[in-house]
Amino acid sequence: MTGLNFLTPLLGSLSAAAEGVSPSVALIYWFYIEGLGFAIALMYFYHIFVRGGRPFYDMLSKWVDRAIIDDFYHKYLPGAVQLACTKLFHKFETPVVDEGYNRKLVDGVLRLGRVLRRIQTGKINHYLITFTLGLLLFIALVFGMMV
Amino acid sequence: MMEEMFSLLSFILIGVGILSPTLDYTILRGRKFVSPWLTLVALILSIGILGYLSVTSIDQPAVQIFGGMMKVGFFEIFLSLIATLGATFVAVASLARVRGWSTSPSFYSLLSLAVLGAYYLIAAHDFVLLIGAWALVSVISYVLVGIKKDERSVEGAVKYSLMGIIASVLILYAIAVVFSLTSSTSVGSIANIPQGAEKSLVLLASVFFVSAFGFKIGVVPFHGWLPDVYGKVHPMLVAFLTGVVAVAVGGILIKILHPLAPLVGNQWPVLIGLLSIFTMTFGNIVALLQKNLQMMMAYSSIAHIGYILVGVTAMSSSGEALGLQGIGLHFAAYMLAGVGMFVFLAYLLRKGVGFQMEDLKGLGRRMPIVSVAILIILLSLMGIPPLIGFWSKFYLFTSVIAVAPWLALIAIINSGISLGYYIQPIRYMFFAKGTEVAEEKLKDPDAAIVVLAAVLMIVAGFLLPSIAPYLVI
Repeated sequence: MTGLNFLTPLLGSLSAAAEGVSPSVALIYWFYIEGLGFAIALMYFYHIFVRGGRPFYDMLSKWVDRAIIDDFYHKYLPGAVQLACTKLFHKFETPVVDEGYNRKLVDGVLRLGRVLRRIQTGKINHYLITFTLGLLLFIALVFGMMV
Repeated sequence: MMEEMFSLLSFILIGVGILSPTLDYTILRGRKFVSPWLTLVALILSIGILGYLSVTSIDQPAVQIFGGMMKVGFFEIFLSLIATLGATFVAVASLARVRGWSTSPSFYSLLSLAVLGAYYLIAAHDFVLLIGAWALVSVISYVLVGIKKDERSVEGAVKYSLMGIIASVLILYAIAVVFSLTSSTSVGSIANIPQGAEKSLVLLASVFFVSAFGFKIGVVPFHGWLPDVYGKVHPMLVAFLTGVVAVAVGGILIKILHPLAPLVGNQWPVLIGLLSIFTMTFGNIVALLQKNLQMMMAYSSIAHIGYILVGVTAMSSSGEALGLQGIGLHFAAYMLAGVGMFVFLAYLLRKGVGFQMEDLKGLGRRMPIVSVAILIILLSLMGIPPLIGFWSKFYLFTSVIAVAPWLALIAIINSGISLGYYIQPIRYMFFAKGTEVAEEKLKDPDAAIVVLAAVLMIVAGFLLPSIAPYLVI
């Protein structure tokens, strides 16, 4: 009961007012009176603020519900996402990813590979020409950069 | 001590190189019994000596030996060890097949001499020794490519040697240019070229060195011979080229270009970066088209040289140390993967399996252990962690981010492209029902080497990154 020490003066005064009533009964009465007070305050708050503001809340919920939830969240947003996806699919997925990345890039790489493979003719004179041209190109590049 | 150890290595390898064919051809009258085993003993002794040297020199500065002709530090010993391991793998794997060739004693003799040449080349600190070592390694590689004496080997050897002559001439030109600037034959003298020296001569020397050494390792556009040799010659001989020659030449290329990079200045990343892009893109894109596994590996080798050039691009920048470490690790990965794959091809050849992708169908069921080993090797080539191929690419690509981020991006894209062709053999081996092929026997030396290469790739993935910080020139 040490936690309730701050109540001692109050209980004392209550006890004094109702002679012969034990502190615990006084405490129960105290909670009852306090609860009653809170209930009155709550009713007052509800009556004045909640009930009084009902038209406002009705209007707000109507607009929020209709404008944000129904129209924006359920209609415009999915519509926009769907439109974006459709556009993305037609303008990016199909031409860029499917046609470009998956087909044209791979075709390009393979075509480049076939061109590069032509260097490998199996003839030594071709290799020597490639070697010499490569060396000359390298030298030109080096000295070109120096200038 | 370093000088004594290198004298011992030279003594062992020259001794075996000369003694083994002499014994086999003369005293044993062509029974070809001694040379493989003598070579193997010599190579294993060399691994032991180099292993000891690597432990003692790991945190020591490089020392000059033989009157400054050679400079040996942990980087040189590491590359020498890789080359020796490569040669040992080839020697063991070739016990199954090469012993049957009429020229097999010469093969083993040349193998041990080539390893010695690789040591000299990697550690060369004087241009005179460099020319000697270059000649030794080059001539042996030309002879070894043609040693099987079939039409393809001879054709490959002729192409390789004819183009090699031009590369040798370019090296001589480059050395002459450097000598005109320094009046010295020491490789170390390159670092003493004053910043105000005739820059055009420095650039010319750099171009000649890059072209000549680049020819030997397959830098585009000096690569012409490589697909014809790597893609058509007997795979066991190609395993030697990948495991020994490429590592040795790559090592000296790095050592020569290291002091040249700061002299070239800002143009360096652009020049080497462009070569790197050409090389890896060419290798990867053409490899995508291949339906033949050996040809695919030939072009893949070119692509991997392109990755190594990414590390070279980082020289003289803040990423230099990382680049050198990446190069060291990538040579280890390249040797293990190259030797593993080409020995696997030699194994398939011996078992009567073709090299077309279709021929690999169902191999995963008939040869499960070897197929899993190949899977590991291919995953490492792709750069999948925690295998060594991942770490080497990670180091290489990270090294260049500060100086040329565009190159790092292109290298990563190229690495992505390579997945397209590395996945093909895996698909055919494990996800396609195939024709009947002979079952594997792990007692076969070539099959055992493939498995060992795969195991080492996993071990190296955990071990080598921890010693990478010591890989400095």
